[in-house]
Amino acid sequence: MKAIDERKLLVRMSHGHGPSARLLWDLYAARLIAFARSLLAAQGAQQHAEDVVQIALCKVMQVPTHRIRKVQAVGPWLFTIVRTSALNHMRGERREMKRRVHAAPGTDMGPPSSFELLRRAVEDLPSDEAEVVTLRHAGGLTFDQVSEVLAIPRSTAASRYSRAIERLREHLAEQEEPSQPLKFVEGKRHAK
Amino acid sequence: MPSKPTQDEVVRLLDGAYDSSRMPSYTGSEFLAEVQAKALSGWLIRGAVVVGAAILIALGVIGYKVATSPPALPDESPTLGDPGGGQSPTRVGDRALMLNGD
Repeated sequence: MKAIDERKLLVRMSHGHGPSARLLWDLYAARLIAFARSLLAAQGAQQHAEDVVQIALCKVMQVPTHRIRKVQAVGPWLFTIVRTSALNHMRGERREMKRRVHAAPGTDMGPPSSFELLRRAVEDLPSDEAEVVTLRHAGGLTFDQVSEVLAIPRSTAASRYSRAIERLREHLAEQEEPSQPLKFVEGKRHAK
Repeated sequence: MPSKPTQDEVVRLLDGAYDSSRMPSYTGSEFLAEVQAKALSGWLIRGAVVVGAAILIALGVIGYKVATSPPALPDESPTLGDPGGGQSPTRVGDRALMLNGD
């Protein structure tokens, strides 16, 4: 199968080419939204993740073609834009926090699958750890790329990832017990 | 006491959880509508440029034709200032003779 030139897709999308936009959306939307959810979870605003990603991609359309052509790797670049968009959204959210009523999380029908539960457990991690995990697994980025997106040293990204994996190990061990759901808050877990 | 999964197991589970086939699908309707709007505006701009260029070319062609066309023939009917109604061949001949001094 012929490899898709994602930069070309971006350029075409920025010119308003519908099929390229559709393809790019299919390629990246779910991963970008998972990443946005991990950031927005800190404010319980995961339900806005799709909006945030759509806003981010609309911003991408405003980027001049010559700048898009200079993008080295499309994936990390898109994650960086979504991160900025999510952080901007969170700043706005904080201002509106008092008058906003959160929608109930998890509006999908039926019981969540074990994978869905694991994704939620990732969202419950401290956000700095959750974003590393989602960038690694949802985004498929290397530690070098993760450190580039988050503007942190590679070693910091790796240690955050290790901490997150350790928390998830504990979480999964406890899930095997009939206990209440685990919640991670500010880097510390609630005692059972 | 339940056993903790190993790090490798957690990593494998995460890979599975974020596998594209297991991820929820999203419509992205607003974004795709935005793309369509951009495409439409692009076509409108291109259309306006083409129409504008066509108008300019047409005006140029008309202007050129007007500038290069021969002047309109003088009216043959006699006028008040020139009862003869323009120069007759005879009168032109007379004037030529006068100029030659013969």
